[in-house]
Amino acid sequence: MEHSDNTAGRRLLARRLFSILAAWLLCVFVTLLAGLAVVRLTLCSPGFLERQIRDCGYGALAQQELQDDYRSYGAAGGFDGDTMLGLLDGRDIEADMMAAAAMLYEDEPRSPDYSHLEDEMYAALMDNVAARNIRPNEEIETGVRTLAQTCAASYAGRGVIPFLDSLHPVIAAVRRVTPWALTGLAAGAAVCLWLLAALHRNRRASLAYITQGLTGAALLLCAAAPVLHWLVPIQTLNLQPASLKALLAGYVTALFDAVWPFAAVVAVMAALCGGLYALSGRK
Amino acid sequence: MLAFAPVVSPYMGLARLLFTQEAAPAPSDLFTGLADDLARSGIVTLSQTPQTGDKIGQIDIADTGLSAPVYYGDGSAQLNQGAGVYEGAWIPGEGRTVLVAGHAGTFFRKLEGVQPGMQITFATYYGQYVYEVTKVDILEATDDAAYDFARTDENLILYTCYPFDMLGYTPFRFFVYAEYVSGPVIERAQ
Repeated sequence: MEHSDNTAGRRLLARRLFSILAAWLLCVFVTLLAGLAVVRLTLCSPGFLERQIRDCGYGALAQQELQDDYRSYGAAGGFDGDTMLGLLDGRDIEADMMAAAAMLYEDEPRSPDYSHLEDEMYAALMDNVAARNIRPNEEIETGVRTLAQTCAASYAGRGVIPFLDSLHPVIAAVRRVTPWALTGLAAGAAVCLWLLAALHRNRRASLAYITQGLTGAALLLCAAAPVLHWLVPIQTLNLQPASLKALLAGYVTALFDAVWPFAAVVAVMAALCGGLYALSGRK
Repeated sequence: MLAFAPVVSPYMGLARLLFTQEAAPAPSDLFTGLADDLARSGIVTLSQTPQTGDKIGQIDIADTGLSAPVYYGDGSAQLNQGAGVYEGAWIPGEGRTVLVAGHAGTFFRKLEGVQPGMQITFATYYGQYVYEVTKVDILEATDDAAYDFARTDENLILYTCYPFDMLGYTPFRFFVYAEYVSGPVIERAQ
């Protein structure tokens, strides 16, 4: 009798320890699953980057910076503001940046081709020189060519994704790995749920541990966004030009905030399990 | 905890470099609307450090008719509105080199007629300064000898593109060097 009591006691202890471990693992798997889902829907998504380009007002900011630059270059180089701003006619910096964003997610890294800009701008400036009845000499042609180069570089610099060569392999690797990782984590969470159901014949006990696991995950996910915002105060980032800073700040903020919907889903699941646990106790 | 300080501190330093204390405020006009009796001598306390884009004063050279608003920073946005103070140098009253740029096609067009002996009036939001031109020079834009930031006496350098009527990019700059005549000394507020 005493031997069987000891065995039953040990079995109960083992069941509780395994349940606590399974609940803890469930919390970890669900948290990581949500985190990886965020990464899949944001970092791995060209649509997310394109949406941030639009939402942060990148086009208007970059256009204003280009206008300021071109007016300044013209004031230094003997061309009036209208002539310089005319170099931007027919060009859409936001559309070019969107194209660059789409290229980031292609198989091979590449940027939009801006090699035609310098010649086009040089031709437009020399047309203006001719219209002013100025006979160009070698010095003027060289000076105007350098001015056109500067204008083209200013435009091209705002129509490319920075650090493309570093970002592309990282994004490609993450896109390759995340489906497998998501599958593995989902399987792990399923195994934990099965284990918790199998360890206890009493459904109420299983629900208790499942609720604990999901509640832990919900708490971690709810804390994730505020902690990430505190760790990375992106609005105070010391970065120029302002258009690039706005894009980066908007992207990072939206990335961190993308955790909230998943936190809400897990919290609802935890609440449902908790409700079922409470109801089962009343029967 | 102290044992981790040598490991953590380089990264903290990098974080301080990458992130400012607060988000940058919008540029403001620190100069317009001030009382006419700007300090011309003595000591002034500077409670507000200018931020990039702030309008901080006005430069006038009566002998050539040059008159230009002055902004803190020498980026395109500032030079389109007036002259710009280089942020890597100093502002008037700090007893060091003040470097001011302006476009030859607009606000610094009348720098062309400046000669030694002429006076430059630099009115700022905290005081009025007078400098006397000592030298005019034409140097390459990349010539490091064009300005001396190691000087420990108050001096002013104005510069613009040269030739003044050049079309396109020019590698030369027209420099005007001026020595301090009068103006208050800045004492930073604690």
